[in-house]
Amino acid sequence: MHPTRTALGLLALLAFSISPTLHATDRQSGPEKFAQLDYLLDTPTETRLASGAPGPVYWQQRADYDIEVTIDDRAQRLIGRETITYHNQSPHSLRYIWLQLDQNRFRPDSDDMLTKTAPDFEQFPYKTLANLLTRQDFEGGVDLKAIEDANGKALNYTVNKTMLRIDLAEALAPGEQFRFSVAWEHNIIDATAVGARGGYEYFEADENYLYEIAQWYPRVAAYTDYQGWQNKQFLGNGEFTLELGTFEVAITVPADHIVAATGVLQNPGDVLSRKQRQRYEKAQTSTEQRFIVTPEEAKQNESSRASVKKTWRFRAENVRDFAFASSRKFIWDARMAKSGSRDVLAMSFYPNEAEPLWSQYSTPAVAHTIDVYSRFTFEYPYPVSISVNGPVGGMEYPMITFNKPRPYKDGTYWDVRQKPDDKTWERSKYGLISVIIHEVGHNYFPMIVNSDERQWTWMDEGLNTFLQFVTEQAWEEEYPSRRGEPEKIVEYMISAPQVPIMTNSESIYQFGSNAYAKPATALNILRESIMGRELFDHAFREYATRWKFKRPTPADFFRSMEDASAVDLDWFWRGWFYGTEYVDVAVDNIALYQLDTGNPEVEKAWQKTQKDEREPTLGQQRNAEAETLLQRYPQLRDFYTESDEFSVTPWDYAQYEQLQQSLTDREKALLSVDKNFYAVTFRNIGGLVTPLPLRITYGDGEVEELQIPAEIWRRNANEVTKLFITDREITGIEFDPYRSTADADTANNAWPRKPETSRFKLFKEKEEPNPMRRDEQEKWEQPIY
Amino acid sequence: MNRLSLIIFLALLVGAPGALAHPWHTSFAELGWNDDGDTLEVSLRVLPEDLETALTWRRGETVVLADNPDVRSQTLAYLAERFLLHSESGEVFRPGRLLGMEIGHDAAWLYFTIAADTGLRLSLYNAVLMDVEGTQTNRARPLWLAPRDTLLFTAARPEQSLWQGR
Ligand SMILES: [Zn+2]
Repeated sequence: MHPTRTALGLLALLAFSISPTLHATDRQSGPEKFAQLDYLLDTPTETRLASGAPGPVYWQQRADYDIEVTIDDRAQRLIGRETITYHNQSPHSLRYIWLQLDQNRFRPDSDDMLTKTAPDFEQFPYKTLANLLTRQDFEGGVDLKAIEDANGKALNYTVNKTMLRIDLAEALAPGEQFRFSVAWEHNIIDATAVGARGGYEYFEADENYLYEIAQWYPRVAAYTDYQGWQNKQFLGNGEFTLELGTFEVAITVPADHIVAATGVLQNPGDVLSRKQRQRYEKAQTSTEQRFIVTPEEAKQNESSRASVKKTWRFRAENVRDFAFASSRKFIWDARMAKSGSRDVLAMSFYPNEAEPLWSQYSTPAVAHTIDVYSRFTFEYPYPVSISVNGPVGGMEYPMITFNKPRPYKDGTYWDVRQKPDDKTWERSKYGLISVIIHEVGHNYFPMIVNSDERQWTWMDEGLNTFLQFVTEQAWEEEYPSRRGEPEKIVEYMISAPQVPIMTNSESIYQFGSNAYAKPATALNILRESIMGRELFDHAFREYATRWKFKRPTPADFFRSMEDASAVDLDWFWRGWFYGTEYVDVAVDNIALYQLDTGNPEVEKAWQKTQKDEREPTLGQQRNAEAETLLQRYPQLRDFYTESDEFSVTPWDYAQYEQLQQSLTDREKALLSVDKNFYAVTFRNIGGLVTPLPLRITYGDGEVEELQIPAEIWRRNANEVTKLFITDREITGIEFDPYRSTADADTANNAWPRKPETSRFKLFKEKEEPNPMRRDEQEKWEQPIY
Repeated sequence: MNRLSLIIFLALLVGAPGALAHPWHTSFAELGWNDDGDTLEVSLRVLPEDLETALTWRRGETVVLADNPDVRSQTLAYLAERFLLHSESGEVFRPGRLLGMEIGHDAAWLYFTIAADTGLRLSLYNAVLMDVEGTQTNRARPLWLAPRDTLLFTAARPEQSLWQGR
């Protein structure tokens, strides 16, 4: 940087503040990036208000279920009968009711099976082959036995793959109820071989089964103000949305099974032994974790083969779904957890194969999740929260979650602080804690804040993944979270093809990054760098509270966050949720301007210093020794030879006098201010507008940090010049020192430029191997060929 | 059923079961030429449990992902099958050296090199972990290009043009 102190007069300098350079580009301009969302959002109505809150005529349907279900442990078959009371609370008359038959996904003629496209056989995943063979042999699908009205009269119905339409003899008017029953059966799938949300796991060693039963009963599809019937076919990947209601479920299983389910056990006296009952009661007042079935008892139970059955009765209120698990292998532990002022019974059910990891971490992770999420949203409204270990990778249902990670066969598990050699990954401690936090967290989004997973996956996965990150970081310092920190999203943000988060599509490219990681990171950035924690946390809690047990859409979220914070975030939603640009800001140019005081004594001295500071050229240096003509013939010297160009002349004084007379006192005072004016140019290479967190280093070594709001880009989104006025010399400026913006190219973030090395070179330069492993590693440490 | 119809039959049924609640299988590679310009230096980040699964399947018995000579040589052999350069005339350049690995819970980083003839146009075949997850998405960033020129590899398109030759 070269300081300039050219003919900048006082007025010229004061007029100078931001001088945008216009670049021709096809990107959105600043005004376009900062335009209000308007037409992109649904028009507000009295159902969904412009503030983002539910309106006075907001409505949603309701479905209450009474279910009797039996698990046939010999045939791995489920036999069920349900009575559904459907409440039409909409202002519309309905001529039919749609139900979901998710199990039909396993029929050979389902869309899920038929729409699979051929893979590249070189890439053929091994797992797929096992999946394939299992599914080929499996007789899947719902076997409908009867569909009747309340009087036992058969109803007309039509099955369209995973959807079932029941035709009503008379239209169901607004405010009316319709009661009907369905009897059905279906085979339970082997969930260890097929990626399913429920199914069984068979344990060869002791010849026992463990059942995780989900998406198992014919469920009433959602009917909403924004979508009508949500009756898209179930392809296995998209999740679902359902109506809230009360469930009374009677589950009949072999008498030696232990059952975990959505809701509260109604008949412990019928199904628990006296000892178990006492422990169960004690756990409900204990903040210490207790076993209701100990590992030893569960082990013993494995060899039992009850010939009789027992029926477990559960009741759950205000839930949108019901799932359960059953096995004679279950260990059962429990403790009371706090959610604000409410008490919640946190429980875990797992086989001995999950030990010792599960008794140590599962229930604590459930309790921790409820504690943190409650602070960010609302008090957990249900009486229990359950984590079950079984074959399902990670899946959420109201009050109950299925979580797969187990330790290695010898009972050890991986912890980053342990020696790695005898531990294994998939069964790691952090893997388990993270999946429990995520799945239990889903109770809030979307089980209670009932957004539509089929349409907007990000509304539950994105918000939940954001809070999962917060909860993980509150578990322990430097918890190894896989997503959340801005720098982790960069690789996705710069990749192509990519679609906006707000793409309402079932074929989103790079689904996990799009629907989970990007919105989660966006919210983290919004909280930490744009709104600040206080404003963000209040607005987020307001959104959650407004839509608790209701159905929000994206516009309700966007509007609520602004409504409760007075922060205009339209540019943020537009950039992060409706766009695919990324953040890359370069600190491009720095110019120093100083005031021309007009005083010839000051200015000429300054000019002389500038000249003296210049190094002589090579020619000047080499000629220095040689005698010049003037040295040989002094008579050639004249007035100009002798005169110093920097000496102050009477003419200079006269000019200065004139200037002084023309200035007001205020202007004179300004002229005498000794300040540095730095014009710093920032270039927006990535296109996504961002605040500019800056670290400025001064000549005296002091460091200052400040943040320029994103609105600096509102006139020109490609390049802005910002003026800094300081007493001191600036020796360095760095953009985004804390990696808080997801900036894609950090090589251009600093002036003067900081040399950047590739990750590879950094690795090679690292002189010491990891100290944890150094001793044993040094012996063999060398490249492998 | 002859071989071809078997394949067609399988193709109808195959699909990625996916980890249902967590469709999250990505890798990321940073690519740069060494100072002599004849060797590609690769830093590859993978999900540790997915790599462990791939090595386990490849060997047919449980492999525990840890940094030791045995796992290193298995990893290098695995990379030699799934991360390689092709020239237009069909030459293949495979990873030759695995300099090291850094294994954490959130990621495992592998550092390896591929010696190649940079006089040729080269494409990168990156099918790492596509044998474990049908939904695997691999990204690679050539450091000599702008960030937006990151390459994306999926099962449908596991090969991308990388280098135009000198
Ligand atoms: Zn999820």
